[in-house]
Amino acid sequence: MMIDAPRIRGFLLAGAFLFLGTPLHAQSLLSVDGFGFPQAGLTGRARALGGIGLGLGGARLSAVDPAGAADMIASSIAFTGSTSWVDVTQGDVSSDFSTTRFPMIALSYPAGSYGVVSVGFSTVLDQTWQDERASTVDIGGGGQAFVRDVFESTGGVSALEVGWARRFGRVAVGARGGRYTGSLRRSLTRVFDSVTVGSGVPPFQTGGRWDYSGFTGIVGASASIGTQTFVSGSIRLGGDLDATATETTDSPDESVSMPADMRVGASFLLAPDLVANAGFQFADWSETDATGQTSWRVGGGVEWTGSRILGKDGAWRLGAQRAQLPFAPGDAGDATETLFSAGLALELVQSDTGPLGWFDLTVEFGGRSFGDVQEDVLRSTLSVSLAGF
Amino acid sequence: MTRAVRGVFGGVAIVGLVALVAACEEQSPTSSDPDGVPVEVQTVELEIPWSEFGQRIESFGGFGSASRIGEVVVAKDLGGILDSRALIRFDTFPAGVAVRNAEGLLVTDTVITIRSGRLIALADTSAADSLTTWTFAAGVLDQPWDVVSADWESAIDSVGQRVAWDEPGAGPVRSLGQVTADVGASGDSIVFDLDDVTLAEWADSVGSERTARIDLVSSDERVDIRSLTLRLEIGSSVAPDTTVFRDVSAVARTFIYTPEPEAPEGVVRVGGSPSWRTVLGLDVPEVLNGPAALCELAGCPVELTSESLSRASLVLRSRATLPAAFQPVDSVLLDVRPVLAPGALPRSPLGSSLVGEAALGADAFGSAAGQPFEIPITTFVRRILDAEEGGTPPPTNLALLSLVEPLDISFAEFDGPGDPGAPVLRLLVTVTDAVRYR
Repeated sequence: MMIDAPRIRGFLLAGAFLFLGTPLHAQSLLSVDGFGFPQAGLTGRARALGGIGLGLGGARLSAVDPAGAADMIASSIAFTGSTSWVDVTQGDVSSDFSTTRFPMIALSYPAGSYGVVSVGFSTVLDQTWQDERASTVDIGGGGQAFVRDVFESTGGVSALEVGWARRFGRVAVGARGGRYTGSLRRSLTRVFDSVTVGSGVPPFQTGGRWDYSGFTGIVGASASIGTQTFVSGSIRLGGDLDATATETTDSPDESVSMPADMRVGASFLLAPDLVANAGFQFADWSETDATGQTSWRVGGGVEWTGSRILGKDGAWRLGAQRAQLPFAPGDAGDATETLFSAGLALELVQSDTGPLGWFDLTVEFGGRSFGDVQEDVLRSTLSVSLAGF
Repeated sequence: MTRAVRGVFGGVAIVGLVALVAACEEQSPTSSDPDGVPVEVQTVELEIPWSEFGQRIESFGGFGSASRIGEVVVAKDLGGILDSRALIRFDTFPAGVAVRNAEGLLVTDTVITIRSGRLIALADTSAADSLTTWTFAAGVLDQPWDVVSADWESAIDSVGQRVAWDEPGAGPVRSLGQVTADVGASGDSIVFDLDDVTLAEWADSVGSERTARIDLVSSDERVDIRSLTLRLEIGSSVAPDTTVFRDVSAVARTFIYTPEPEAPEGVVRVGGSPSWRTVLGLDVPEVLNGPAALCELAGCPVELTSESLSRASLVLRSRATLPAAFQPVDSVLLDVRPVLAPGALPRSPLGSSLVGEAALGADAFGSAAGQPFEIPITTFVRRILDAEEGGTPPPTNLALLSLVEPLDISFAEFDGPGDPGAPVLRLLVTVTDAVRYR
């Protein structure tokens, strides 16, 4: 069988994107005391319409909606990149940080009447953060030394999955299964003050690294109800996340119970080009970590698809979401997040059967709070989908 | 899909990627919560006495020659015991001088007359005041001598040849007289006029040693002489009314002294001329059994590893140099190097410097004796801790030596194992419980 050049280019591009699709940095100080910061690999469209990602309609590759690929008519690739800028106030201390990540990359291939197969790589948890403290330590003999301790956690959990989706009349179903992957490196560095300890004293360093493995999967379904309503739901199955210590790590292996993540969403056609969407997400992280608790997110938005942008079909979106986050420091009470979003989409190529290429750009702003920490968040998300190669 | 459409796709993808990558100024979320570091860490400073790590202490002398020192030392009954004399051998006299003849042309006149000669010494007056006066004596030495091996007893003391002075202390000499140098009036110059007989002898380039000995006459003093030249006043046959002054430089100079300090026993000695070195053998402990804070966290015995060792240093305590005549008069510059072949001591090759340069004030070996002197040896100790069984064993002996050998007649001493300030191995150790997954 001959494989044409555009297809080869497509797969090479997909390979490059898979390389990029690694979790980089966590998005919140919530990671510091918790198990990480959950990442759902949401597209720009999902973020613009309430951050749930279900019940949106349309043929899309999504990390949280395996049935969404059922209507993909051509081989395609989709990826998402996101950049966050966060201003943090912790007590009297203010700081800021920015992070960029590529939480999702996926490919699909229509297999005729068998449905659509797909491969996806998405971020599950970001676990990158650091904690710094400066102190004076008694080094014995009446002496004291100024030291600065830096604890760094770098890495996260990802999922590499193969999926299938198929439409059965007004109902579409989908499933994906695969393995957890990724790694976590945790290290402590103690830096000595040269004035009190003397020059030439190198920092003390110790740490460990764990590689992730374990099975994961997600199933979902969607249905059209009448001519105006569309509903869908998915559930990511819980299971054990295995963290295997590397040979040089002086700590045991760990196994963590991951929660099931349930999402439902629905959209309603308000007018020929105006759709309202709402959704709900739920997961119980209490067995995953000592700081874990029940998390939920509720969000929604409206999408107007009747506009033309730069001569192309486009869409404008507005949304909002409210969430209780899964991890919070022990005495911080609930950790909550409120975000408002605005976004646009541009259909670059429209074929007879639907769009073959588009991008979604979303900007979110809002805040998180937990304990004495207040985070002001600005996040941009860009998703690109290319089809037909 | 048309090529143009694919171009649009590619363009969007590239623009998107570039935009995202351009925003990749990654900064980790950083907390300042003092309780946010999930690892107990303890840093403890330990002082291990010599009895628990010292293997050997041995001093070796005879490194270098006084002739290598930039200044020569003259002393008379310093501290009641030390005499030191300078020896200088001058270059041959010039065979001619350049003068202008009656036509104004520059020519070399080889028919010259040495009219006079002056031996000029410049003393180091940095530690003297304007009321200081010193009296020096100079004499002509006829006995051949070797600049490298000459000492108070021997004119030559090289391999296979040993020739004693006719009189100990580079004697006898034919006196060139005495000169009193008044620092306030004449500055640092000490000038001896050479007599005609000496000039005539020294003008003989073959049959003369052209050697002078300079003694300090003033008692209980020490003077460092930093420059020695012979200034000749030369008359020309081509231009009889012209006088030419030419300096003849010293081709060899050294100083000899008595008594020689006795070999040290059980102390750390560094410096002198020829120089002393001291070798310390270390048996670095592999496990630690204290202090309590360390045991509480890590559970004693604690294995000492290169990772847990943040700093290691050898702490010496200075002592007053005895006899006092050998006390340093300027900062002591020390070097510390690993001994690469202990079996070849005292001539073992040494490794790279561990300290570069370490300085200690002269007072530490006199009026302010007892000062601690900390020598960083972290790298040295880490190599010992990292040694693999069956591999090349790392050096375990350290040589303490003068940064420049020799630098001065004086030497520095530190307390030895039997003294109150015996050497101590000071370790800064950091231990933690294991960094766990969570």
